[in-house]
Amino acid sequence: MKWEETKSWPYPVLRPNNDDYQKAAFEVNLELDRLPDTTAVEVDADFALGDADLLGLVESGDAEYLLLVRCSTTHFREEFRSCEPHIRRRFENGMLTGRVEIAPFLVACSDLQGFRAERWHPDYDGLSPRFDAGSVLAVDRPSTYWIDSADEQPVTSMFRIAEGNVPSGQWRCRPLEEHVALELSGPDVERLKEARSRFGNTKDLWHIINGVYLPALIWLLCEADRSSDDGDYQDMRWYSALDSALERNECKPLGANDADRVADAQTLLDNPFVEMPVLNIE
Amino acid sequence: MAKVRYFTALAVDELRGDIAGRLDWYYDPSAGDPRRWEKAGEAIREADIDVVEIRDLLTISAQPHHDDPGNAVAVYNALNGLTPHQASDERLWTYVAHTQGAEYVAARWLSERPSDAVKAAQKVRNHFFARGNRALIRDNGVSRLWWLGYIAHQTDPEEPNRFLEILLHRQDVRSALLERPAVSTNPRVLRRIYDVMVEQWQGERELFQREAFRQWMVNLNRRGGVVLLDALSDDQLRKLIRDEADHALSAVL
Repeated sequence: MKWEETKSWPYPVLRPNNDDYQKAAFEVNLELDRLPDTTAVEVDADFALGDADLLGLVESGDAEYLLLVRCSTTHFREEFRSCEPHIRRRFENGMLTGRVEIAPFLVACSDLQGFRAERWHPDYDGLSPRFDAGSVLAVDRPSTYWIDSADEQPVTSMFRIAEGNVPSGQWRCRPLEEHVALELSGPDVERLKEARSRFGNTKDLWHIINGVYLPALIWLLCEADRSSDDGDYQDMRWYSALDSALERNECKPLGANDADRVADAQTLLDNPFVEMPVLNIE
Repeated sequence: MAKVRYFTALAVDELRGDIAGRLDWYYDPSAGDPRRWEKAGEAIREADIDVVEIRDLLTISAQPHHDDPGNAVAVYNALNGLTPHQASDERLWTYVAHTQGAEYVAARWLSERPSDAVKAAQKVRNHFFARGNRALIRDNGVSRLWWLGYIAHQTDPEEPNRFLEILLHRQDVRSALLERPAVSTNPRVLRRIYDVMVEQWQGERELFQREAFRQWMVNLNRRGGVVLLDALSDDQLRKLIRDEADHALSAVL
């Protein structure tokens, strides 16, 4: 069952930006803590249900809170239920990686005969919707997290060279969900790829790192800082990887007001300036 | 016992970037040095995970898709020390496909070489590399076997071969159950669907008729859009899946 804000249900469902229930809310506070140097995580969910009739179903055992955790990369899917408004679970190292979606629900435990809620929209007056076992009574927006192992994943791996509508001889950065595109014209893409392939195992690669990846990373750090209040990038995979890299290198986190991102980018790339062959000719 | 080895990310990118230059090798790995990639030095890392070499465990017969169940169990058993996280790593499967699995992958998936070099390279990209989830589960010649074995052991730990025999005997069954994440990544749902399929497999097999099976999947998909299947108890789930199977058979037969 995918999350869709405009999904049509055959019965009232308490959910964001919808008036099936009048002046009621179902909000879930989710926290995900990653254990250091592993992919093990702990998930903590607090459910806030603001409707007396639905709360009555929970108290009578006819409904329960449910947290659905999905990770398509590791083929993982498991549900956790509780009649208490709090669910906490730990996932061991290796179970989750990549994109993880956590979706909170309130669900019917059995067929509900004749259930009505006082706060239903007047459009439901006189109607007797059917609630089967498993019916979703309330839902909140799912949260997305990225869990990546840090081993042998250089910061440059979050960039991908791609062809874009860019004048020949220039390049530009475009943050996407999973990576950051380094866009160049078609011929320049081929030139850069060929250079990377030819010089990939030589010191000459540092010229490419200094000339392209370093300024791109500086831009990306500044852009992520600038937009931290808007939250534009926080659900993106590269964002959490970049934040983790800053933490590992004892740099200020993304969103910090007074970070020196020119210095931080050089730290993340192991001070590429001094590695350039032109500076080391004897 | 050997340790798991894998390419660096840079090595994978370089290999992917130069498929065209090595097309002849990909379509006939036996023609060159069979261990060429294993000598690549800095391009290879080693993990502290024990592994049995799979080179001699893989079978290719005249009808290679019939070998998939046995090969899946063999690869999974040889690499059952991997966590799902480790088994989702393209670097690992690219290395295995280029080394121990090269001749198998070429024989299984590249027996016909397109005359168009671009298409020929695309086939190599699909089966020797593993960028993305779908590629891991469906395309890479070796990772698909591991993940088949993994799902089989999850669903029918007593008889994983039976699970694979039933699910792989037809492409539409495989696609519907293994390539659709809503089902294949839902172990409880997959297990209940499989229970019904086992009964049918041992009986009249009416549900395996193409139209009946398709209708069953449509019915389940429709029910899953209204009811959160994960929220059902095992008994409720079992009943729902059986009821929809009966409805599908009634509608079609």
